[in-house]
Amino acid sequence: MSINTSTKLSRRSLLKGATSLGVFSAFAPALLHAGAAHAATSGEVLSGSHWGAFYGTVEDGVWTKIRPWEQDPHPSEMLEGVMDSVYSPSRIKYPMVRKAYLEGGAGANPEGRGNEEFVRVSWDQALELVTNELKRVSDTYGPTGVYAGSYGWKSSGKLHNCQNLLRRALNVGLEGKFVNSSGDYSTGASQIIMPHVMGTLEVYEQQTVWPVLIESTDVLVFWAADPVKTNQIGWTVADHDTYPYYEEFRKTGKKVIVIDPIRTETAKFFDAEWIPIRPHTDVAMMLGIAHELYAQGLHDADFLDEYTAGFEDFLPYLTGESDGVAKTPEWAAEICEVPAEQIKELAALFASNRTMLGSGWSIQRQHHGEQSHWMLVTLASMLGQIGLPGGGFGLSYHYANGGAPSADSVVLPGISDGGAAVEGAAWLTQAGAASIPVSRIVEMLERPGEEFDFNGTRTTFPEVKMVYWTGGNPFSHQQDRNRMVEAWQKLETVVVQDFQWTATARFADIVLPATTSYERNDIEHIGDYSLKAILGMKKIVDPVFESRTDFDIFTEIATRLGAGDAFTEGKDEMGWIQGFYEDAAKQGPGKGIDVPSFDEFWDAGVVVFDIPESSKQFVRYADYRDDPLLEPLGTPTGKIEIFSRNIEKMGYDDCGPHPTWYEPEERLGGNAPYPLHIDSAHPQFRLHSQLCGTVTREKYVVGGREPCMINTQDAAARGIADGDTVRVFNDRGQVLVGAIVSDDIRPNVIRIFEGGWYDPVNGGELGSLDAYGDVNCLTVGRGTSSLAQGNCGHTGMAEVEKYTGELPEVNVFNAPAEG
Amino acid sequence: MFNLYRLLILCAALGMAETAHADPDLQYLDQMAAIHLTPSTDSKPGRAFVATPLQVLSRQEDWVQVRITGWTQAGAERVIYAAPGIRVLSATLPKSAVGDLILTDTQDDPETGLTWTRTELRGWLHDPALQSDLNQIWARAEPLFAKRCTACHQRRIPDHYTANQWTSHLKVMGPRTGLPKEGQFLIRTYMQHHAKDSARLTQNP
Repeated sequence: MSINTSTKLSRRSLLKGATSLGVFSAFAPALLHAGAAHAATSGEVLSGSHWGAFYGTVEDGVWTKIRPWEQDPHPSEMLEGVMDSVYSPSRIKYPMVRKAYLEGGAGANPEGRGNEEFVRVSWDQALELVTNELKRVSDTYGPTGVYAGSYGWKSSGKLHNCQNLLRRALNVGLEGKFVNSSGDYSTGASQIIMPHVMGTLEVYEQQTVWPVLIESTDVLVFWAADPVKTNQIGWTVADHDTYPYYEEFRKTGKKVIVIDPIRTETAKFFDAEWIPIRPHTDVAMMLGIAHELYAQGLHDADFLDEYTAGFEDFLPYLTGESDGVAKTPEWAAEICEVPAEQIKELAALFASNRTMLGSGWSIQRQHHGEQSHWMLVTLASMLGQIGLPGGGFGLSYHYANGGAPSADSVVLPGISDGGAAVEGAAWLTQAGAASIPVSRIVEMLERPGEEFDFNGTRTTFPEVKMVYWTGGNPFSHQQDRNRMVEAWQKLETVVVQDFQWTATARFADIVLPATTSYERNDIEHIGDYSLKAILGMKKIVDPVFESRTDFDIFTEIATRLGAGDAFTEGKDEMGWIQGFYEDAAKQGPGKGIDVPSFDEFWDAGVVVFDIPESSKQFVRYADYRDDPLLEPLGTPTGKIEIFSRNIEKMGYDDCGPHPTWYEPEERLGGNAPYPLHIDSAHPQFRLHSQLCGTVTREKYVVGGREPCMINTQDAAARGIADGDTVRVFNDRGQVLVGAIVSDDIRPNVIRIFEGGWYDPVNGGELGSLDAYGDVNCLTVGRGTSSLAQGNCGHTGMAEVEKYTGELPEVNVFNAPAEG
Repeated sequence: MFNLYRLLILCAALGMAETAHADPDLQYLDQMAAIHLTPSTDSKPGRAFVATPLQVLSRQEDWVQVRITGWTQAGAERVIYAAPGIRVLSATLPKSAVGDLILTDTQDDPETGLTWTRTELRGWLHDPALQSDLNQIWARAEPLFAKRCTACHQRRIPDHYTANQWTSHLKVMGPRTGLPKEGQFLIRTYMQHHAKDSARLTQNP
């Protein structure tokens, strides 16, 4: 373990800066303009974010330069945007209230959301409005009146975790009377099906580490995964530790295969064999490979017998004995457009080599998305390499640098949601579900009091009247935007707390300006899986304009709800941070790690931990393979369940007891109301919608709009040239985007990255043209199935045309008038 | 009104599952303990886990002889679970002690194809912490769960998962809490006892 001395600011000066602000009076002379922010001092400060750790240079109280931490092996190209998020024109400067709401109160002119002007108010007035409304709604509508399942990639940091702070304020101040969310938009289907199959979530778990892949893997498959792109970010502070291993793997010259409609960054990096599968047909292709393995006797019968359950119940489906359709390579080729010969070759290649099947999550963010990873696991089981070095499957190689070896580290706790008994939530269920699968929020608003299925239970949608959203942008991550705009009109009150004027903020009634992470102190790990360091996320500049920290805002709200002391537990910002650190430090002696004192740590800014050799040998499921009886999986059989009795008992017609090919609602080559599949992959230069409102946009916009990649043939057939502004449309919505014509995408597929900010030409009008390019105007809003109720962001067909009308301005990156 | 109602629901939720077999001799292990075949530390002990129900048979100075009944899977007799197919750990034994187990009824589970055998273990605990009220143990587990398991993700609902799934979740997530193993295990057991299939824990006493 070493400690890096890396900050030129002393702790004392930072603390002095921290305590010298915080008093804001209404309509005080705007001294705190961007560019003239109250200067704490000058120098260089080490801090961090989802994009990695970095130094910020401060000159006269203004953050002027950013450079990566020297121990980041592959710094993100997005760091400029991180700095710009403080000063960009999209910054929320003051508390604001929608005009009709301010004048008419809760529920006034809900159709005006997204269009009406905002009026600046004082913090005192805004907080009074919010707390009175929380009380009114729960008094009037009972425990399910308020929705606080606020979801999204809140900024890094163990203290200013705005979503936890929101729920903490309501747990201590409102007796826990709120509806929560469960699951997420990334892995909605997989994190529900995998516990039935593998006994565990899979998607957020350490992978067989890269040094083992480099040593032992012969064939590395990325099935709808693009780690070179997506590992730029991390939930804590990104470590980027896997990138040097990618280089090393590339140098071995071993085979890499990318199965994806797009020649991805990963495909280019590894110069991989690209298999441009027809989207939404991955299960069919996997079944074709599985059939070939079985037909040629290449499957590992011993592994299936010892480590899995139910293969014999799946087999009649594979061979067609049960439904008359043999899932042969020829059958699969018809569906997935990968030639039957190639499917057969892949089966032979996988079976005769140590093969790692690394899968991303897009193929489970689809109608029937549960099946994709279930079938992938089944395929890996037939190959029999699960638990062997470099073989098997992995569902997290593309996430948060999965497969980076883990350090011998102590672990930070974080601010909790403040709730005591979880059974306390049981009383909520009398009025409706206490927790909603996160992407069902629109459905919840559409049909309160009606029942819905979820993972074997049948529950009632609660009647929600107020939404409080923080640390997320549901007007980006929720599918079928126009349906959402309409559902949102049913709400009486919407509060949004953020630092940028996202579409979600524009569709709110009350907007509270939070600071960015860089205007407050916090603490966080570097490396989700590697846990390689603990970082002091030191304040770089004072809060700009009237923004306040999330901890500060929710302390105020809890105090006004009469529970300030329970909320703060008597600790301020630095008190909490020190407490988290010292809790972690206590683990040191037991783990044999020498952890410095808090003062030493905070002065140095970071403490880095050793990565032991044993971590570089980690093989996922080696323990299970070694002793399946003493290390059973968390399934009923203790084995990998290719057939699940538990799912069978649920009796769902849209999710049967074994992996199955189901025709989705829409797909290329199947039911196709429009000719082009929409690929809504994770963006290259954003974290979902984050940083869209910053200078990083200049790296990718086409004609000032979100890019849309289209195949050369498809473009030619429509008279579209590279750089043209085009309209993409279907029955759900329409967006303007800028064409990138390329052969890096297969025909009949277009790609618009998710996370482009929704910019309706006529805000609040259903079906309005989106001037910037939010792909979720076009995607399907249904749940994956009765089992997981995940989102279907990768399901949807559309048409593209060259846009010849008058080009509407893009307005979403400027603050609304008066804002 | 709401508070009273909430209290009733809370009591029901906490009490219902666990008072079904009110046995005056029944005690619960308050924390993990070494379990020996004889009242001495000479041989390699097994482990008995928090919240495991047991009956006190006799006492000898600081030693307490107990009986733990549970279920073992054919081929893995050294692991004793609370119910057949429900992998809530009651005790684990060194291989050498398996011969001392009293094995009784055997059940074949057609769904999983596994065979489970009701097992009785008689062993000695040294000065054990016993608890007659299981809810006292949960009262310790609950705040630990609420505090540690909401820091990184939304609060998970215990009955969204089965008892077996909770084992796997805690295997991965437990170390991320920063808690000592014992604390992680307490959370796991608590979640298992409130899992989707926790009713089966009391159907097979």
